[in-house]
Amino acid sequence: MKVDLVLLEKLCNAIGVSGGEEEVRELILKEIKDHVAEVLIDTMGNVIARKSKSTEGKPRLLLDAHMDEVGFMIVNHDGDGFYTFQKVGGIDDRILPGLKVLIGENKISGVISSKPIHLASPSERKNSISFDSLKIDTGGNMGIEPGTRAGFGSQFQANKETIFSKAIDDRIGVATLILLAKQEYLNLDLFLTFTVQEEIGLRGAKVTAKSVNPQAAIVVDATPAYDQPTYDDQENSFYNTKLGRGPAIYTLDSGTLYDRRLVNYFEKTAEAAGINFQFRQPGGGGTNAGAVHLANTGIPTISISVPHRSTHSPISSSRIADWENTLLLIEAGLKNFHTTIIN
Amino acid sequence: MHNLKEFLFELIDMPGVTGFEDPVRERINAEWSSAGFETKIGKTGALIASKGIRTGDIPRNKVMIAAHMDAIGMVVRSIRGDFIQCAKAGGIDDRVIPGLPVTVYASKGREIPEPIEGYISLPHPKSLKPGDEEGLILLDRLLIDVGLTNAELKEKVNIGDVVSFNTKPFELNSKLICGHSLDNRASVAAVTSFMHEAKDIPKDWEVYCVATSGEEENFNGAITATYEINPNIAIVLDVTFGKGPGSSDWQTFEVGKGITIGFGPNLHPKLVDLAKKVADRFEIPCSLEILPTHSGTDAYAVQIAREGIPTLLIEIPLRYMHSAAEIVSLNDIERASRLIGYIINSLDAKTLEKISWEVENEG
Repeated sequence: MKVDLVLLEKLCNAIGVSGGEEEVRELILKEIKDHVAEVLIDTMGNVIARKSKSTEGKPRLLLDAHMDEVGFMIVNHDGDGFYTFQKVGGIDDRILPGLKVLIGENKISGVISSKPIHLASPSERKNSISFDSLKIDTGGNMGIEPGTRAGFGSQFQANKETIFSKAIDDRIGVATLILLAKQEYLNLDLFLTFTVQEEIGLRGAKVTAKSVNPQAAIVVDATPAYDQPTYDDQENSFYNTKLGRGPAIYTLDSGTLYDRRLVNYFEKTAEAAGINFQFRQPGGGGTNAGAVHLANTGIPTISISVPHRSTHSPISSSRIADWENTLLLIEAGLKNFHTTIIN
Repeated sequence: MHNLKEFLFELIDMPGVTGFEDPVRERINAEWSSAGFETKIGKTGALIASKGIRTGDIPRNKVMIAAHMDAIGMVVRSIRGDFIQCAKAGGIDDRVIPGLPVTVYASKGREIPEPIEGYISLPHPKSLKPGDEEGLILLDRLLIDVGLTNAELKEKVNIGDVVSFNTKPFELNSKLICGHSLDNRASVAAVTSFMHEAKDIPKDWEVYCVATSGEEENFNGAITATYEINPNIAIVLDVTFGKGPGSSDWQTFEVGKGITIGFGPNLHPKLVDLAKKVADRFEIPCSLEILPTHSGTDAYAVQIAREGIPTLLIEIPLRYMHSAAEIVSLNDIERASRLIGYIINSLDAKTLEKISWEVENEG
């Protein structure tokens, strides 16, 4: 299997702020409809696809990736094209001043305001700009209604080794699932869910995991790397993953104690296939696994993520090789999967 | 046919960090030459263009129109891990740069630097000195990620290499343009439009246009070019503060509603009066911009060049100055260009007499 940067670019440039995933959903449906037996959109807006019809006696397995991304919602027009806004999902306020955003279905351009440093008081200069002082500036009244969503205005870029884009979290997972949906799995009753509202509390997966009710689940996401130097060149004791070291297999995070049988299975699968991988450092953060593994009577779950830097930012970066190895690892894991692994 | 908007978009999609103006100067030089001006490059990097010079004539008066072409930016100070850390070139605002796309001009072993694109990332709180984790993170702690490993960076990047903003320009509603380096490429565009329109130069005058260098650091282009030209009158163009969220006091002006003429000790009062009269006569929307001391522009250097130069300052309102998302109005740029044109046309043999101080000498 090969990565598809054209597909990833389309997905990353689409805007799907939590609760407004339409554009991403349309792209997904178009990509998978000829490759799956059944597809439906549930009441939350989640896409649930079943790979094949003849499934008797085969293990029911779930692959999940979330469609949504962090962004903004316009909450008031203050006049003359200046809008008050709120954040949707976890965004560091310090990346906001000067940020380009695209607003609504028509993708109207705007920028987030900042008081020029020349006019700032000495105390203002010493501090980051407070969120409450920021407005979205569209350059004139564009008839934008409160409730309209806005996303990062940056565009996907890649060189030979590295992807630079907004929303790598989790379009890289979405793209992985789309590519996997185009393969055949005679050993599995495979379900794919493309979920909404992960960034505001794993809301979509809390529903899909229950309705699919799989015997095991694999959550595919992007994990922050934090693989950077410290101010005093001491050991970096806080990194999650390192770019270039391959897919990250989770063992424990703030939401999930991962199923050891699945962790061992994927570790062995990677070793057998000679696929570069790493364990994500145990600790904070989490994925849809936090919702999935607690659904119904409990679902053995694993998270496999592509490392990326500067999460929830207008530009994050990932290594193409890490994505490729993620794809290869999950593909190998699916093709060799059998129920005894989780018995 | 010169297209103001297209040229401006080109100018603000181009590096020209203060002290390293070569790429933008080359583009401006081509445009100014095509407008029929003779050009040369000053010894510290300013671009000097002239028209109306006739050798052998009786020396005529000279008017200099100056706009700085340099922009704020950064230079590499260290390579740490897979990241680059930078120092400021000009008045970079630490508060507005995390998350921005940048281009590093990697020069190691190369005559022409290789542009490498990346972005400015916020460091993890635990990577910072205890006490520094929250709030504003200064540029020297921010990390530039260009997707290269430490070994690759060391092979390509030199300490001191230039780093420029790489936000792409775009148009907002109502003829507003958004991008980086509009301070002061907006003024360069206004001067360029004037040059394309300037068919007849007043017969008693020579016109010099200068794209100055180093304004954001030390005014080196303005200081040396003014010395070299030795003008009788200077007109400096720059940008001023646009009204916007949190910026609405007397120092700010509505973007798109007109330009400003500077007033204060940095400018020549009689030249200010002359410019106001011209603006009124030709109905160019124009406010008086009160500058009680330092104008913060090239005018500060130009005024005290040689034995003193009568200096005028015309400014274009701009929102979010020194961010990578500055906003100006094309209408205001056109107004600035027209005002320069009308002022130049109003110059005659008596202009210098009209603006001179009156002294009554006895006997």
